[in-house]
Amino acid sequence: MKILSIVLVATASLAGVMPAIAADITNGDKKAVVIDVVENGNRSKVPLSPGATESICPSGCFITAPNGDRVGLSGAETVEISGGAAIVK
Amino acid sequence: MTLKKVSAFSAALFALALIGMGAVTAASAQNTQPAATAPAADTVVAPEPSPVEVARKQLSDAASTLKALTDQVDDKSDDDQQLADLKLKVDGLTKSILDVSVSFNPRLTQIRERLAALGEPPAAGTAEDPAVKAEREKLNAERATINTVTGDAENLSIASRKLSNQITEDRRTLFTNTLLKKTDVNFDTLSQAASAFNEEKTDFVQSISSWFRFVWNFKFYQLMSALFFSLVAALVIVTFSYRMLSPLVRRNTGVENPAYLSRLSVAFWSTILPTLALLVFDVISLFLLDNFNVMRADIAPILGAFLGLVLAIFFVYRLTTAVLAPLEPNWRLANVTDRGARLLTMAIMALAVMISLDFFFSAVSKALGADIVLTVVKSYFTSIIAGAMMLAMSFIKPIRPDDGSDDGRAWPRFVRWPLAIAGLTLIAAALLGYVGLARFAATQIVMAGAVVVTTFLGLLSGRAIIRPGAFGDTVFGRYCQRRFKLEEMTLDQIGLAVGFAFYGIAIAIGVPLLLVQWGFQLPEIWTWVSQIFTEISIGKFHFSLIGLFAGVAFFFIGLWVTRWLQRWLDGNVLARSKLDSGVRNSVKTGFGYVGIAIAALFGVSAAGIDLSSLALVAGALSLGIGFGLQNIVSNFVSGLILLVERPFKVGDWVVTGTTEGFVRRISVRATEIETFQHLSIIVPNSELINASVGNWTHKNRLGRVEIAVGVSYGADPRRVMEILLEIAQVQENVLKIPEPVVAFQGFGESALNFEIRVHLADVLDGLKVRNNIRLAIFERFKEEGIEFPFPQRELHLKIEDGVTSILRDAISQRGQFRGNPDKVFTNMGGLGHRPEDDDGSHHDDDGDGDGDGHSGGSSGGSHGN
Repeated sequence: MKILSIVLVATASLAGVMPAIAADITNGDKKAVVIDVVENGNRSKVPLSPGATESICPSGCFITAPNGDRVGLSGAETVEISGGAAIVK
Repeated sequence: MTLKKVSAFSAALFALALIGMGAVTAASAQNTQPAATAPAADTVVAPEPSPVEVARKQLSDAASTLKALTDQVDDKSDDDQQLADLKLKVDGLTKSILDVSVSFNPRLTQIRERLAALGEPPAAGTAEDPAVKAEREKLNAERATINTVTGDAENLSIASRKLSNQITEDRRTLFTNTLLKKTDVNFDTLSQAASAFNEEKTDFVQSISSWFRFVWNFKFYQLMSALFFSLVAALVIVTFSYRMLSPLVRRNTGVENPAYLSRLSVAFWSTILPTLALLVFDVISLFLLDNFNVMRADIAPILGAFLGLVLAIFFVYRLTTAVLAPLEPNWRLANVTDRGARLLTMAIMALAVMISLDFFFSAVSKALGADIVLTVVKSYFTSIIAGAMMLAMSFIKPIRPDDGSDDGRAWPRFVRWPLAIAGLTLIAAALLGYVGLARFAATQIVMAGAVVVTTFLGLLSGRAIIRPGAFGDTVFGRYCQRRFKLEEMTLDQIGLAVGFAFYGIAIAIGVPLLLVQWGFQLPEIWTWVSQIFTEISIGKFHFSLIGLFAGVAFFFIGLWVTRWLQRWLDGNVLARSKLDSGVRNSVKTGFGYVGIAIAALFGVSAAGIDLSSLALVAGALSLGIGFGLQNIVSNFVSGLILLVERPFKVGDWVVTGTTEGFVRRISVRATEIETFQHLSIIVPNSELINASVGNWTHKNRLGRVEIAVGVSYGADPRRVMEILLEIAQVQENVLKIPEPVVAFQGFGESALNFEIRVHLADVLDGLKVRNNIRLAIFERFKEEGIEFPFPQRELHLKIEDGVTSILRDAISQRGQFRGNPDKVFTNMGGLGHRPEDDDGSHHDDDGDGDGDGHSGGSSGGSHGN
């Protein structure tokens, strides 16, 4: 039992360094938007219907919001598209 | 090359060991400090540049770095190691570029919020406060700048990513090219190689001796201290591990016939530990020599290769002697003959020495810039000889036959043929000119083989120690048993844990070594491992192993805390609260349920499982509960009701429809009832809720017991009742109030029936009290001369007239002999009634005088007395 507890505590402390998994982009606007994503050296377009959420770029990327703002993401953020602007939380 | 990678690997591993070295840290601190303070001073003096400007500067720096890296990649496109290093740098650069633009995010948010606060620009022609207008313009300009800079960063990151991909591609091409490059080895190349060899020899001797003279004369103390420190570190490891693990590492010569497990662990640890020590020595001495500026650019790779050579040969030597034990047959792991072990050891060692030397000389050639043809020719011979060795090994007959004689059998087919084919392939590849391929294959076979064998040994010893009782038999296990007074069972569980730890260690060391051997870089392996642990995606579903582990860990921690709190609550709070044990038990159990629920919630959240996604599952589950789990849930709810309502508590004497006994445990689904025969009966809780349950000890333990007594009709009932009452009153454990009662219950068949009723404080004493009372009654009645009656029967015989006369005659004749014919005759007198009156039944007086049951009442004349 004692050994078990030690192992558990060790595991739990590991959990402290648990990283987030990917950036979540949610479209908060009433109309569908298309976001330019540059990830791993590739440009791609991610369409988002109203209210939809997409998980992208676990290892960081650049996105271009509908209003032309360019935003760098390190991969752990939650982004909301609102009024064409990307709001990073 | 591979050896260098191994050293690089170990450098990472033993950086820790170096921390303790005061001299080193002091020296490096001195080196780094001025560099670190310089830019800080600059920023203080210079006026604060805007963040965008800083970012611009950083990006332009990154761009020039990228350009430099691109040039380097083009330059070093034939050196795998360098390319791998460059790739790491490029990836780091990509990350830093991204970081630059990520750093804008807060500012961008500020600007957006401010712009929103300022509002939309008014329609043309309308007047606006110039200050507002100016600020809006300024903000918009800044926003545009940030967008431009981020755009630049984006392009730069694409470029740098491309470079990274190109490096990967280059490395792949390089690998294939090196392996499949065809070099004809003929007389010409041989003579070229010979002259190159002569040149290299001179070069080698010259550079080594000049370096050595220089070091001896000017860097003597540095050299000696470096050697001293690394030697000390290695010795510390050796002595420490030998002291700690002595029976595991050394062959105990006194043992006649060591167990398989000891042989195995000795083989594994005696390979691993000294190799580790040597590795530490190599790494630390290289590091220190480099730090003390003893090393020279051309000497460093040679020395590194030399240390690697020694390490590789040493490792293979330890491993071979550990497994084959050519001189100590009783410690041999493999089932081979003495001769076979000797031959195999020699062959394997020759192979290892050959290949290591080849690597060493290649490194030397490279360091001295010798002609490539020399390397090719060396590898050519090495491959051919290695192939021949393998071929020869396949012909050795090492397997010890079942009868134990020393006349070995050949390899089994699945060893022999691959070995022979590998040997032949090496020779063929070399002869056909594919020297690179042959050399690569030979290395892989020897080094990867050694790593695989070691890992396998570790796994085997793990398996051996997991077997029941195996750990207790080891010296360490026995020590633990003595020291910590462990039980057999605990020891066995520890053995299991140790076994799994062995598995873990063997795999954690073996697999990365093998991967490094195959040309993967440590950072790459590290990235994979961390990806496996932090991010696994299946479609759109992401989860992380660490998260899951954390979830499980949180759950168990929660459980543990709950149990602890439960014990604490029960022992410290409830024990003083004067609550009865039933309430205590209920509170404790309820607390446990709540704790488990909370722990489960914690666990699920920590595992990163979204609870809302479980809603669907919960919906489906509720349908399932409606049908399949109905009983379980009903039992569970009943269990909760039992805890709250407490119709009985643990320790109560209950009577249910089917069982009677003491309640032992009330759990979630069922209640355990132990009968007086110590039969445990598990009664589902719902039965206890739905059916009536009797509880002898519900509110108190008060109870009444009855003892029935019958005395003969000759006794005086009043006297009997007096005596019985006296007896009851003086009994131990019998309550005075309500006082004992004696009831005259009726006229029995042959006895007057009485009953003693006494109340007891504890109904569980009933058996004892009853026994005592019965004994007392018996003894007292004996004294008083009161009889316990035996059953009495009166017989009525129905005899026909003819038969009567015959009987009379017979009796009167025999009466002379018997001497008592009158009595018989008299008793027969009663038979003189009409036969039709007799319905064949006779009626015993039941003694209660109420005449019940006298259906044939008219024939009552026959009743005696």
